[in-house]
Amino acid sequence: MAISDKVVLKVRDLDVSYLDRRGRVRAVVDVSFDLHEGETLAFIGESGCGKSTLNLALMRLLPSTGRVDRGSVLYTNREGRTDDVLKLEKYALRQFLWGECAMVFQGALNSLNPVLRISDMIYDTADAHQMPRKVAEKRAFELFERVRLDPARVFKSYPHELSGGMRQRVLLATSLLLQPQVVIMDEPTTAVDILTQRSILDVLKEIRQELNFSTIFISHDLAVAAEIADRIATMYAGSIVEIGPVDDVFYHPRHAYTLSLLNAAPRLSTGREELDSIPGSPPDLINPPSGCKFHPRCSFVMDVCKAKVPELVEEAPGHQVACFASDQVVEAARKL
Amino acid sequence: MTANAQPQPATEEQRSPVSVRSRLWKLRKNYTVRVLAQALLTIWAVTTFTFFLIRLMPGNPLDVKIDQLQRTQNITYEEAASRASLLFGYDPNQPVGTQYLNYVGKLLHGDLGMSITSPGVTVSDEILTYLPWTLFSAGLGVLISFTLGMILGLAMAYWRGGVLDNALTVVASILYGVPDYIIPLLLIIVVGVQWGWFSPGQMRGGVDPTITPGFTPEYIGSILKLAILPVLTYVLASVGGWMLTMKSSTLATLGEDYINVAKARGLSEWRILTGYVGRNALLPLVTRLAISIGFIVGGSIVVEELFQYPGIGRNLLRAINARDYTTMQGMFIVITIAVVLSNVLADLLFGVLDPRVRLGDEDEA
Amino acid sequence: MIGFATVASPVGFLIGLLVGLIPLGFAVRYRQWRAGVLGYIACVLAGFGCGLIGGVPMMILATAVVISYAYVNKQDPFTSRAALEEVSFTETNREYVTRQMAALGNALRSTGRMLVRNKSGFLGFLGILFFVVVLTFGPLFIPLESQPQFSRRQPGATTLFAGPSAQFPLGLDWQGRSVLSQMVYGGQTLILTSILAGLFATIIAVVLGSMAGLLGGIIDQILSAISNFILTIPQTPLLLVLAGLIKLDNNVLLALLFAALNWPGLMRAIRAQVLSLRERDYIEAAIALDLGTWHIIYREVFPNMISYIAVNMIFSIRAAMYNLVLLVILGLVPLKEPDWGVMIFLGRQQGALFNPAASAMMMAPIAAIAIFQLCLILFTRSLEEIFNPRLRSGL
Repeated sequence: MAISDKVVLKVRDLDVSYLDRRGRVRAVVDVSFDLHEGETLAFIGESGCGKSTLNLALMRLLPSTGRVDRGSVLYTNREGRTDDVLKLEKYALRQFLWGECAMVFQGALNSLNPVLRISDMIYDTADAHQMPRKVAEKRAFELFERVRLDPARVFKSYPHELSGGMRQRVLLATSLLLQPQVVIMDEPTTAVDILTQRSILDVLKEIRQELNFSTIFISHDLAVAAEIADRIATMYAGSIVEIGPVDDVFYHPRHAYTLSLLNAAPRLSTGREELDSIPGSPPDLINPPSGCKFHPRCSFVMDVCKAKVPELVEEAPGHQVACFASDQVVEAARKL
Repeated sequence: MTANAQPQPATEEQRSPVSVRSRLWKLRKNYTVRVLAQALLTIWAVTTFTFFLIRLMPGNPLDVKIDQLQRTQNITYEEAASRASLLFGYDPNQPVGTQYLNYVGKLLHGDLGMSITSPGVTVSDEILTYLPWTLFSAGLGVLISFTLGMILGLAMAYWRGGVLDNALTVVASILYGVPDYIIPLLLIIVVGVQWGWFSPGQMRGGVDPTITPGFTPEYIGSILKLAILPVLTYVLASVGGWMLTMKSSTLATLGEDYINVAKARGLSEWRILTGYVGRNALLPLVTRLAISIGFIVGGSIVVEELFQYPGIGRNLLRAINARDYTTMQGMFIVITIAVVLSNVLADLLFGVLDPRVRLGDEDEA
Repeated sequence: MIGFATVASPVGFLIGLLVGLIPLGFAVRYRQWRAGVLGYIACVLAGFGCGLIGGVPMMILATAVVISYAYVNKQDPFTSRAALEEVSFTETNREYVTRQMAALGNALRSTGRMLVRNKSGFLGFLGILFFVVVLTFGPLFIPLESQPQFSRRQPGATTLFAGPSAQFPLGLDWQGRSVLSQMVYGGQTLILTSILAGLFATIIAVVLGSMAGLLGGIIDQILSAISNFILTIPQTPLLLVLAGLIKLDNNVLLALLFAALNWPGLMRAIRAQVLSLRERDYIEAAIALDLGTWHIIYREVFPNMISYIAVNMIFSIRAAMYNLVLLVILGLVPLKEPDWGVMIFLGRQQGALFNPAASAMMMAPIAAIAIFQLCLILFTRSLEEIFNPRLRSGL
């Protein structure tokens, strides 16, 4: 798929932290990336690595204990106007949300208000964005059909009357109601069975082509990420440690953590039977380890890793990595 | 029991017995029908229970009355017995089964017998005189405390941990922890007698007897003025529970994903508050409403007694103290039916608010 | 049965002072100062408060617990805490008793910690403790005044009512008797009856709930129908009607009556718990192995439900107290002085409600009842924390 050079979302130096009883949890540290028009960027990493926090911060939906300490999120709309999302006024923010940037949350059952019909949800969204209800209804019917739902039945249903896969597709369809430029998908396929996951991914690929929006895709399922994404960003302890085109990252990983993730995931292509787990557990984000935060669990660890924080460096075209041992990692990956 | 529970559909569809059966079976699934059937069953159980309670207790009231009539009026046993059975509305010489059928038959016609202590007055008339006062004051109390508790609880949850939340939580915990009959006592002693904010002697009764009844401002004003203390008591006694329930259920709701999704959809804060937070947080309160109504009725006895409010609670107490068994029985049945019906209302309201409990209805359509 | 709470005696106090030296001495030897002091206090209180019959076993238990606890936890480099967990199959009876007693001591210690952690719960506990102490030991220092004291009439006053003064801190009632004395003697029956009702309700609920859950079928349906019925009828009017029909002059009977109205809530919860446990595989295995239903209830249901049961018992106690006071202040049960509720009822009859001089006399029982009820509610928060391991390990 052709990816244009136009950047719709430019995130720079973003820091997000939560206030905890024990202190400040630095959930997102110094994150910068660009999202291009029409592209799908997948974030991978263990749970608790800051993927979801990052995306909540992009939409300014952090819980009251969380706050953005630093950074900017520059969004360029279809008319070419650029705004910092973090500085939007209340009303402008509400228009930005869903209108420009929509989100598909994980856990489809809890994402729908149990006491409202799907139609009420559509109308509420339409009302909030000055879209006539008739227009919204027509568009919702189109989208429901597009995601292979029976529009007449689903539209008048309550959430509990739909199956898990149907709910997930309802969420997917409603996220596109206002033709947003960016759709953030937070693990949209984790809560459903493998067949539903397949059909959702198919639908997703299809409508992405037709409706042309950019996607930020969050997943800990590498196979799904590999299938859907144009670029991959690996996150560890709140930072992006590696970012690059999907094939580069998956076939020639340059960060020790990405390599560990790949080794921990089943891969059909190599036919390897045994899986390696990553030793140790994710770091404490209140008192993170010194230097590279992965070093206590890393098999390539050197002295420099403990002392200095590695910076993201472009080592191949469009492929940036923050690892002192990237050469050894490339070597090790080749042997697989 | 089943026939008693579902009389209407059975009579309607007598032409085709097969379809009656399947229809009844379908109706079992219907939420509204289930709620109503349960209520009818409870009412039947209560009336039966009362029947046997009054009749089969040691030293049963009828014998006591006959004995009393014999002694005080110096008449024969037969004469006393016939007079007493007239008062009580049943003949003790009949078999219990017949007595029971008579009793149920009379109940269905709204005949609760004659009052023992006020000769010539039917119990139904007595109840009709007193019940409106209780319905008015307790109903108003429930309405105000529910609304107030809902709003305050919502505010406490929204500004959780703030000064308002902490202060109101303490107040609500105290109001919730203290027995309701303590409140009118405190109102009279502390606010009335010690602080002198009102004269406890004047704030008694349901309406000033010197004002001629009618739709005049004075009359209605007097009713409202004298209702202040009972209503205030009901509000204070139950608002704490509402506040705490609303706070915790709102906190639970605020943590739900769909609230975040609603925010992400750019909905206005007002719409999120009413349609998403409020409506879901309200559900546990509606369940509590049923329990609360029973408690208010219990509390109303003391409240009405202390404020000399002419409601059914105070008169039930009067009937008990005077050993007026027919009135006692009638009032108890009516109070219970009122509570059961309020529960039905609360259940139906819950069905309206939460589509998940209405599953049966969808099958019908 | 009710009334043995007033056995606090100076002799018991002296015995307690002496016996307390035993655990204190042992604890000091094993360098467990705090346990020793607590054991001493426990012995003194047990001797003081419970008289000879209740006090002696209490003292023995306290002594045994403290000595064992101190012995097992003694600060000695060669034995460690692990001794508590290690079960040697060759242990003698004496070692077994020591280990059990020390475990009890440990449990008490951690319970104490939990108790202090929740502030409002601890406040409630202290409140309850205050009432218990005053009601148990107060009669030792304050004589009961049951006869009218006409000589206390103030010059020029029309009634004997009087507000608080230095001599009578809570004022005088309509017969010129000290309100403080009435207060100190007037709570025992009320509280003991309520506790009895709470116990009855809990026992009924546990037995019927386990029966309904385990046996199922028709028994389950009948019990559920009865509990539904009791939950629906308004209880206060029912109690009033009953009071009008039968003479409720026996406290045990009253407690049973309150219990009969109070078991359905807990019974339903236990039934649900038993049912959900039955679904689990290991219970089926236990049933298949014929381990006995009561074994299942004891091993599986109780540990899961103990927090709920304890909290519910407090609520039952509270409800019983509410109902009892209600019946008394409406004059529907035979009145026995001294009693807080009777003070309110008679005070009202004697016009104390509207007499400013009598406000103190009315406020004392009102406040006592209100505060005791409030403390019970607050205390449930600590109970939840003590029994609920999920809450305990959490924040």
